[in-house]
Amino acid sequence: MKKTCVAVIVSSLALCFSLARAADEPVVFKTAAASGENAAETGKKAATELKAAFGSAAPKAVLVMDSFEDVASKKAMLDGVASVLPKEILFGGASYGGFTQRGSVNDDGVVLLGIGGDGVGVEAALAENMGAAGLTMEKDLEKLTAALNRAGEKLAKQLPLDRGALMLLISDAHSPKNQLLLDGVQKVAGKKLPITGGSVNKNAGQNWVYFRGAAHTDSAIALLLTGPFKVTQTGRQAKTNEAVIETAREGSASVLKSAPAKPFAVIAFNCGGRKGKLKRLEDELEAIQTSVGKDLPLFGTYCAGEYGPADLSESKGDCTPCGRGWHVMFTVLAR
Amino acid sequence: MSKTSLLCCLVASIFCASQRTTAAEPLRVRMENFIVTPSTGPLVHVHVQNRGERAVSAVVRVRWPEGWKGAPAEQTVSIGPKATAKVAFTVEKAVDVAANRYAVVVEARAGDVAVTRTQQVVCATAPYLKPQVDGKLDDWKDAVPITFTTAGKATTAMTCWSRKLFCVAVRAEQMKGGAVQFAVAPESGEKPGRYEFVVLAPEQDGPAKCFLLMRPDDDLKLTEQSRALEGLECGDVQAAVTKEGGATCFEIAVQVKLVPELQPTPGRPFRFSLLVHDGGGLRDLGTVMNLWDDQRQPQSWSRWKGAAFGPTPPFDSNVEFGFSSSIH
Repeated sequence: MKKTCVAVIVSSLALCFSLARAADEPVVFKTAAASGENAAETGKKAATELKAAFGSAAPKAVLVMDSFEDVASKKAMLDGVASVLPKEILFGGASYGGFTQRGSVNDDGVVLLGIGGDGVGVEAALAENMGAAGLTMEKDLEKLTAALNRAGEKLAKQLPLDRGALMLLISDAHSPKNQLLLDGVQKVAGKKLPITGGSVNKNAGQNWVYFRGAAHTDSAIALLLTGPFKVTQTGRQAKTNEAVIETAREGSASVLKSAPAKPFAVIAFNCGGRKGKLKRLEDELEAIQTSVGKDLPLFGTYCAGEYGPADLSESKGDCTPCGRGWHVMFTVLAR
Repeated sequence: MSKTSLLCCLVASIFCASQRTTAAEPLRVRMENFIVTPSTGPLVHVHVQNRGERAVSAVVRVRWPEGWKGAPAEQTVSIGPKATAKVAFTVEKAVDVAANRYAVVVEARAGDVAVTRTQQVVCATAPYLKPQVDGKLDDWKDAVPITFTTAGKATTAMTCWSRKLFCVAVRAEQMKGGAVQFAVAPESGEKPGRYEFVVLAPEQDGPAKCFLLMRPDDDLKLTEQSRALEGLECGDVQAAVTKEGGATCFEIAVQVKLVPELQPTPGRPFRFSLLVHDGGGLRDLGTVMNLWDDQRQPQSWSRWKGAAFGPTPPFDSNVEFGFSSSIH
């Protein structure tokens, strides 16, 4: 049986009281999605749905992952979202599509994850102009390693890591470059902090990262979630239609079963290549729903590289977050 | 027995075994093309064909280029008589090279029968790219070219995609007039057919005419008729041809709506191959696809008036390719 990773929030005595109080405070994770050729309208529609899901509460951060083709459409989508939600809380990047508990999104769509409630804190960091654009692993490994290590360190140094429960990392550094960025993050944060996330769409002209409502290339962002919740993670790799569906089914069931408390959200950073192997896009989501169901908030996005525990032949059971490709990285948040 | 004698016996027995294997060919192997760049860790299949009358259990191994890592180390597969099995290997660590040729050794052993084949595997992938269709190929530098030589003349073929276009580029050295014919199809579907196009080189540089020879629903018997191209013009394909140095450059853009079954997205497999008609001769992309020599079905390519197909059919037109993201 494949292992999963459980990271338990470490609390100091000094924080006991405040954590005990925080444990009673609400943590709200909600998702929304929309598709359509009009990017602005699509963004607005998804944001309106998310806002309605939050009710009287307000999200502290919204992860925005879209699958529009050109930058003009992406910016229109962001404007559409920002017409409903504050621009300052919008983070994310370009993807190859995604899903929520209610359905899959292919091209020309957006998937949102809203994070809010007094029981969760969100700290954000941006590393702009990483110096990795145009560099290749084959020709520029040394330069690329230095640039991405530096960017990773820069991200991590901006965040209160000692309070972190989970880091969401979104980067314009696709697999296998994503490991170099993570190496930089882990040089500062260590390898125990649970990290998940993905590399943005690497198609020429689509490699955009979003930070506080603005689009950046050659950049990476990190969101550090703080709060009294527990994080369980697992990663599964697959490269055929059948294996993609089966690993989604088995991986999600396994990670959910390992949750040490009541799950309140599932996050799946998934590979665009896995999506490409699917003969029917909905099959993967339906496989996940066999254990996750259709009520628990589920945020999935297809990326060009994924962060989380690797499922490689030589590292079965190693829970250290890695940067990989061809993976679905499941994270269950529970309290 | 002296060491020298022992060595001689060993060499002789290996030679004999090799000869026996080659003559009878009870087993044969072929590694498919990589359909995304090797550095991204693709899955690749090895075909093992049992040409004998009895079922066999074959152990298949791959020796990867130096510095690469693949898994698993070996696989065992049961193959019925006169049947072909596919076994999958994963590239876990690899480096892309500009030459786009990767030396791989595939071994299969069933009982005392062994076959070893060294292949120069290509990466047959269409990355995301948006070239301007003007016959100039300077905006294809981020494609993954496949180069092959026919009678001393080099030909380079490239493919790419965007949401609305599937594009093909060909640079054919020392070509006079002629045409580019290509076939494209989804990896598998309910229909075994394909889309097949031909683009004729115009006399002057500039736009070129494209003709649609086959659709998936068409009867394959159509391929055997040497059809006139009049009436087969295809307006949903934009093409341009230019001369550059001693080469003729074709740039072709097929609207995805014309070939809806392809559904381009990174990682998705499709089928493709290409012929260059060059003054009565044929240049066949299939020659660098490591196909077995008898993978030549007469109905794999459409005949048309003005084309010269020799007595031996070209290699099959349904070779494995894949869509991928931009390579950088």
